[in-house]
Amino acid sequence: MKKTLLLLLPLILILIFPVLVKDSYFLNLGILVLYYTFLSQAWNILSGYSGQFSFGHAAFFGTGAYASTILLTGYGVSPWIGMFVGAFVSTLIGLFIGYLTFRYKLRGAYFALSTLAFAEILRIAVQNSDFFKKTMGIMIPLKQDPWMFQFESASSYYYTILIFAGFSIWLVYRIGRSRLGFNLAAIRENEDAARSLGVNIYKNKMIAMGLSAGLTALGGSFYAQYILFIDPPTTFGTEVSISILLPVIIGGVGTVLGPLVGSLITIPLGELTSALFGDFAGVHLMVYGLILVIVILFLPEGIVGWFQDRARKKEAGMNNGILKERG
Amino acid sequence: MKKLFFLTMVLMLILSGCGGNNASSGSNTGGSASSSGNDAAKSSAEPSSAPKVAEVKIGGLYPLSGGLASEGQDMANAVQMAVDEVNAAGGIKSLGGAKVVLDKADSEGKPQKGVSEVQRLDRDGVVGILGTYASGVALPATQEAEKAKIPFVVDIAVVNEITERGFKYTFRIQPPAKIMANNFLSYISMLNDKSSVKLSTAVLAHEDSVFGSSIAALIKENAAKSGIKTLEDIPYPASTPDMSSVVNKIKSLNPDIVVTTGYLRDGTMLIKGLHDANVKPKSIIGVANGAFSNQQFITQQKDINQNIMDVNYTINPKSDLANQVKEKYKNQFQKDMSANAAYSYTAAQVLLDAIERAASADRDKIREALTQTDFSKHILPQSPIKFDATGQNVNAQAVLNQIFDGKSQVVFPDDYKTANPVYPMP
Amino acid sequence: MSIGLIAQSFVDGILMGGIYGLVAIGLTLIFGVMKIINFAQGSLMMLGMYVTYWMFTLFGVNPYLSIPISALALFIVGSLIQKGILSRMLNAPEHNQLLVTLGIMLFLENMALALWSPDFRNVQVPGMVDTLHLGQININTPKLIAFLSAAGLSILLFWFLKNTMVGKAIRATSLERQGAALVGISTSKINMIAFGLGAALAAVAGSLINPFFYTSPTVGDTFILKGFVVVVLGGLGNFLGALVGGLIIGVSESLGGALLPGSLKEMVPYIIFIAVLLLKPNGLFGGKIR
Repeated sequence: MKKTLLLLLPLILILIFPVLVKDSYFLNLGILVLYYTFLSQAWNILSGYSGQFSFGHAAFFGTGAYASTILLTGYGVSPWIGMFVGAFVSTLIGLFIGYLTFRYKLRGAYFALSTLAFAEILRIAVQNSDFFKKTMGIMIPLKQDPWMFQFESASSYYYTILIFAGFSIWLVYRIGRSRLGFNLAAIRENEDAARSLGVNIYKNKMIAMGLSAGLTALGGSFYAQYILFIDPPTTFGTEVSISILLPVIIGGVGTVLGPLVGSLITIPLGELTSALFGDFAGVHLMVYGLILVIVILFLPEGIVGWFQDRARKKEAGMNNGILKERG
Repeated sequence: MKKLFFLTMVLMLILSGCGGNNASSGSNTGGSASSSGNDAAKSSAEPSSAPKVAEVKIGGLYPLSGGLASEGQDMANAVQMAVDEVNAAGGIKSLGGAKVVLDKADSEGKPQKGVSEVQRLDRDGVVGILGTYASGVALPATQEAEKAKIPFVVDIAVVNEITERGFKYTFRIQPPAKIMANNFLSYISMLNDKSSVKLSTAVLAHEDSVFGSSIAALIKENAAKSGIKTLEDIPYPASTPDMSSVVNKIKSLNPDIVVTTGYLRDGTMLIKGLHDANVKPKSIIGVANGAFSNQQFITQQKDINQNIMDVNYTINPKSDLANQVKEKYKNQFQKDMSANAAYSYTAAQVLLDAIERAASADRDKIREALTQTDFSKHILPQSPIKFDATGQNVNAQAVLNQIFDGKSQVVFPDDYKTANPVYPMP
Repeated sequence: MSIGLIAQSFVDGILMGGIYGLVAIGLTLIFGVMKIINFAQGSLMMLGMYVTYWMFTLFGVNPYLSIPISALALFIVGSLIQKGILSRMLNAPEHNQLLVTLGIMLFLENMALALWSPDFRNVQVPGMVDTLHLGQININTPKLIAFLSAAGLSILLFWFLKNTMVGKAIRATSLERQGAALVGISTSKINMIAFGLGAALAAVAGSLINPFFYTSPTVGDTFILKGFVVVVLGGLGNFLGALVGGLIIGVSESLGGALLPGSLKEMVPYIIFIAVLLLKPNGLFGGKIR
């Protein structure tokens, strides 16, 4: 009874957050937390669960942002539709990257850096294409119409991204308990062993890649509709890739709640350091970098990973105790 | 499995609990600030808000860290200087001598960060915002300010669209890309008219972000009307360590004029590269070039920068006031006042002037006052600062500068000129 | 498209390639020994540039003469970073190592910003002739010096690893960490030395770049991504590979710049990178320290 209450409380808090908080600054923080939860959860599917460390998710993010925006500004297609077109295109790009890298068995640093290279190639391609307005970026006209994915109130953005994030958490939770999840975990732990168990490595990696790429693109469309201005460096740039993977590493790679917990820490932390030290240029990012290093040094499994570890140990200890009592 | 789920939930509870607390306390402070968006009703209920304000807060949104930090900090410093001057002279007089407080915000040059910083400034109860240098930040940041109904005076940000979206709260001091491009083309026609040698072919070399690209695109579009033929435009990333391919291309195209828009580092490398490769175009003209109007380039690269021109927003060389301000800035920050800083300084003065005339800390009244701006005690080479219906400074213009013996002089228009143009370069 | 343009582009590409190689050598040493992709390498280079800048500005030391000082300073900084932080990360998952070096980068970059302001700084080497003219071809002297140093350094390192005790211990550690420990090599000490050396190499690169490139807190960002591409291209841990990789990237970029419109040349290194990886997944010259 108590347990369900404790489970429900944070859920309710998240649900009524916009009702409790009217302040647009904090509402925006909430939106950013959920937004990064969603994105790093998407990254988590590929990199957390199958261990294929991607350093180029900006490729998918940018694809999503540009697809929905071009469809909207050029053809008047609602972003609600455009974002799924973006997700589709992004999935194709993901599968193409996967086809090349997985077929040729690139792993570890080689895989990470080749995803980075793909993202850079896409960025430069967009920068040189008139169709994508080159480096000028594209502005989405301010027109607050829910059908056009623009809301007057921040809480509507909040609930939209909440649905995204909730869906991604649910999806990863389901994957974790499915055959796919077991296969991916096996691949992550030991690819050769997984193969000898009859796991189709290539196919499973491709599924993870496709899902991850598609979801990331949805995040890109959301970004475009929230900021209403996109250009190549802020959608396809390396910084985007880094910001996507940061929360989940802090929160716990390969865990269901890692992205949420990680975002709950990193986003407010970034705001806090810039509010406290913002007047001394550079100092707030110094502090942020330092905290990053310390967290990884002392919580190498991430925060959720740490709790899981402790829980496991405690359980083992309790079992021992029970055995002793019985003995 | 269930247990760890439970544990993580506890953690989340704690976390979201903290968040909630902060949030609610935050919204309290937000509510008590005099003019936070939706509590107009509340403020009218308060005892009549006649001139009894202890302090007025304004925001300054600049890239204080990251790759654009050098310019951003210069600009924030200039704003601080303008604020200090008003405070030293007795604050905002119409508000009973209220002190002005500058709330600095770091955009890090990122659009998303710009938006959240505008929201933070909103929370802090600023009555107006200055910024932003980077166009990519200016577009979403002014939009956020529009939503929150905060007057936003853009000092530097070049993209046309900033004042073309029908916003009521956005004002801009700088000449936008189209004016810069037009100024360039009219100056080049003028130079060709006056000179016996007519130069007609040009290569556009520009850094490839919105800043360089938007100006280059406009020049390319309209060059033919001024009798200029663009042979090619060569975009390059501003952070490139190697300008040699740009130099080689220019060498092989052999244009009369090299037209270039960029920043200090790439601009310097380009000029060095052209010099080393023995490429001698008949004219080198920067448009809003971050190098050619930078003291560091002008004085340190004396050997290679003779006669280089730059069409740029700048400080009025003929104004005594401007010279005093420049001197003061240099004494205070041990650095020459850049044109960017001068525009920030002016933007701050314009905003403070509006607050004075509004005689109120109400954002809407300040916006109203901004639309009525007629500010002539400024340090820019232009007639009084006035805003048109879109919020653009109507008299904004770029002047033609030319470097002679390690010093930059204005050579056109005549009202501001301190030397005669040398064209083509001997 | 004249022959002259192609020849000039080729020469420029070779010179720039040497510089990419120079940046990559330290990176590849660190990866070879510790298996860590060091994102902070660019920031270490930046610190080296500032050492050279301040030695020049405060004491008038010729930038090329300050190389030993910046190398020593960064050797110490590097060893301390390794000892204090990275030594605890040796067995951590790859993504954690990467993020830690990213955190270090963020810290160093912004420390430089806070301490020395974001202004662009440059040094002017006294009495230096900027360009040599060989017929129609121009050669930029500071870049030539940097290029020759890169070649010299990789030969020197090659020799050092083959013929000295420490060098042999480094190679042994890179091949088989546990085996090396078993035969009595203090791998923790070797790691420290290797990272220190890697940082010192970054500093040397910085000092050599200083005469033709402005110093600023974010200057490392310009080189770091290319550095990675070069390192992987040549084979992680391989010095000569790093140099050759650098040359390939430099030349292809430069020729791309001459032949391709817009900024498409930026894409060339990445396409070559992916193509090489697909054909030779361990880079051009395999992935062992040699």
